[in-house]
Amino acid sequence: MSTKVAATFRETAGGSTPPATGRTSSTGETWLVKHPAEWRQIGIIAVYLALLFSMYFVSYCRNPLFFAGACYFSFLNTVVIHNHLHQGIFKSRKLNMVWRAVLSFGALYPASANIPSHNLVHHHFDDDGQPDWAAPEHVNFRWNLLNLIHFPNVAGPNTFAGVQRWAKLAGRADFRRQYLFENVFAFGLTAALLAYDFWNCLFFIVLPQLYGARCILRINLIQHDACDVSSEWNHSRNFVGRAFNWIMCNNGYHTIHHNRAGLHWSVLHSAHAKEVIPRIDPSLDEPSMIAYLVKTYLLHFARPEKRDVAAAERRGQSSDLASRQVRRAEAEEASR
Amino acid sequence: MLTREIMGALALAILWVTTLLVAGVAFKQATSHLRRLRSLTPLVPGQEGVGLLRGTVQEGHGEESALARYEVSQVGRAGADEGRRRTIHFSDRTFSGAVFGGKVKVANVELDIRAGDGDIWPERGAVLSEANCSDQAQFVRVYEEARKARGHLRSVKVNLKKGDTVWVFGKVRKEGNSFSLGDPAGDSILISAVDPRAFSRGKALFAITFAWVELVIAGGITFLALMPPRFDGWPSKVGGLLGLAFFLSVQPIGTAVRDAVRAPSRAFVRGRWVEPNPERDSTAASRSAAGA
Repeated sequence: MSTKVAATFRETAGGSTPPATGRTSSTGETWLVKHPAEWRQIGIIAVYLALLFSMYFVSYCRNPLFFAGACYFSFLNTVVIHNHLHQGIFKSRKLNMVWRAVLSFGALYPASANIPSHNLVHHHFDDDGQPDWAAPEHVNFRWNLLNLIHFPNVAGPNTFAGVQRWAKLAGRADFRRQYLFENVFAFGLTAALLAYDFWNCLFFIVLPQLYGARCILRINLIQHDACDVSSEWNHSRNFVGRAFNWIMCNNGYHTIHHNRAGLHWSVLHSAHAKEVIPRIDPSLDEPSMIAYLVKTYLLHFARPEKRDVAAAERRGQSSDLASRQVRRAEAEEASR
Repeated sequence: MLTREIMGALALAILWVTTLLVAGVAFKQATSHLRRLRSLTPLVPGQEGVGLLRGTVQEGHGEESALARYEVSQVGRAGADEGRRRTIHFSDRTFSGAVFGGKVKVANVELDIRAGDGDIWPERGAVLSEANCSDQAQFVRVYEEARKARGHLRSVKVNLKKGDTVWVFGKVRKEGNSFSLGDPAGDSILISAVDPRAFSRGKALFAITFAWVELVIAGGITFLALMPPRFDGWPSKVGGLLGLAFFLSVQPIGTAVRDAVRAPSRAFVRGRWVEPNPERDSTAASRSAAGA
């Protein structure tokens, strides 16, 4: 990655996201977290856990509003997993590892699975000759809505089988230990809650947990189906609504995230505007995810045809983006 | 308020949508094998048309008199040690097949096969045997590359060669006194070391059995979960617990079934080498160190 570009965006980050009052010292140093924007992610998780446990313990809270909220925040929990596994939230390594366990409970899968499945495999699509574990091609119903519903049933097992194979390689002992810790914490705490109050745990803890985990798998289909994964700038679909990206911690800007995985999530909006817009087919910049889902999966029966979306980048200006091989090598190095 | 009845109905609906989708995919896979089975009509020697013939490779124009070759490219990476033994784990990259051309004798008829593309089905045992580690020296050589970032790249190749029994599928045409095999419409020729009809029949049966067993289990769990006192008593609770376990396990089992019914030309090979004789290697290493 170009150091110059990265540095520019880091500066933009400081400028566009003013330090929150009371969370930074007079010298501009943030307390506990690496970046002041991380408090938003911590807040999301706090709200999510509060929703889960209030439904579990307080019968009055077992209503559609709390349940729908818990499901949505469970999805956001997996968004936080994604961001945290790219760049740890906390300054303390130990705290980052504990945080992974907390997030794992929220999603009922070990958060560290994201390192091989997302950072190393998904970010590089099928560059190593085999399809991404969560490639859209893994589902092929003629009725496109079934593809959306079924996708996690295939991408989930592919992912966890792939993670198991990756974890068996030499030099992954630390990963295996952390993965086990997260599994024990997530499934252990869930099992304890099931033992204490089976039905309320199943309905008000486990269902939201599974909803989030399945949604983050579905996102792979939503963000890449009918795109050209062999291209540099037209491999992903972006959802660019400002309110959506505020709560989603800028995870709607997927193209720039793939290409410059090292950028902090808080600067993706400006990076998208600067680097992606000049090179992307306008159809891959969707203003609203809900509108896209309705249009693609409810109003149309068949799967959209693939178009030559990469034509936009052939017409666009050249870029200093490092080759995929170099980016993959950097990602592998970072995972060690 | 969200009562247990409402939430139970929601949970069972999720369970059934997943169950039906997984079963639907298994039925789709079975249908695809049955469609192939229907197209693999046996021909009698000397008959023209699209169909399947069994014969013996008489002549192959490839290396080692190969008529055709199956190939899977793999990358091997150093794995975690198992006790004192080092390991190498292989993952598949691409599958390919090539027809070199040659002749296949079917009863007393010779069938001419031209070089080109084709679907090549090897015997599973032959692929695994070819992918195996032969000795300690080979392991050490491969391990040196497998421990580097790039890994050890290799191709596992299986030839269908002179003297082998093969099944060939394609369009048989009479040209003068001889017969030739060409691509059937909209498809490529198939050259297989296993009986493709038996293979397709077996895989279709396997996928259908899985789908029905899955549906029956889901039905049993639903029955148990709905036993009175519904979402309150022990039988219902056991049903709920089994439902959760079923939901979490049916998805990996479904994908395992999908992998198990892949055509032999696309079946995963992967594999793992465990160091055959680490003692001998360390003795040799210490000897060479002493010599240096």
